[in-house]
Amino acid sequence: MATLYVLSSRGDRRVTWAPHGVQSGDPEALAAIAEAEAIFARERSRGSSAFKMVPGEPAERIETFDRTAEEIVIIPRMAGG
Amino acid sequence: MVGSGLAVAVAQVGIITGIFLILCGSLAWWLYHRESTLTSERSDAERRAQQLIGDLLPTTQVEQLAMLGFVEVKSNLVPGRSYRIPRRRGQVQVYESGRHAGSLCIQPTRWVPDGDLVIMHKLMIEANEAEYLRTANFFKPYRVA
Repeated sequence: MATLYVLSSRGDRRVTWAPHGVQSGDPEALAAIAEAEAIFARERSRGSSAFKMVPGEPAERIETFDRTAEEIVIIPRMAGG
Repeated sequence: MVGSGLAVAVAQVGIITGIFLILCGSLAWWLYHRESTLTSERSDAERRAQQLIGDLLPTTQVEQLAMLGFVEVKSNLVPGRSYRIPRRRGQVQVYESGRHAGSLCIQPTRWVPDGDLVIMHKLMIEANEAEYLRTANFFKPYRVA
């Protein structure tokens, strides 16, 4: 299962989808990934940053939603303290 | 007549005082209830964040965080530099060639639990270190002469 994590004051919000289901056209999987894409776009418009995570490798910043990613984490904008 | 006028005045003062006390009491109750709700929500958020650390960080870093109180992430930009991200919110410490070189103050624009902060710092350092350093305020270490 692929997961989108959105970090917020309530802890993380997760949206999961089955990549195989997306490829095979499963309606539930397509709806889930569409929701993930919409959340991604909304959070990016708010100035949040998104990262793709692969186990054993450094994180990679992404500007657009990556349908092949297994884990995507969205974090709020950061500022100097 | 004077007595009845005085009684009316006292009654009015009493009523106004009573209304004032009721309003103050209601405000105090609302503030207390709001604060305890917020505390409860944040406690739940902290628990979720600690679980997320276990889900997203490699085992070695989870263990390092538990045992040493920080996660160490090597710099991709500066050879010999590493960053120590504290388990609880606070400044990220900068080490160069094993020596404390300063600290970075950078935080999210919205409150997030401590566990999520660790993940945020790690992601930014690994994948966006240049912007991370541009955004953070750097503090030199305090050294006793």
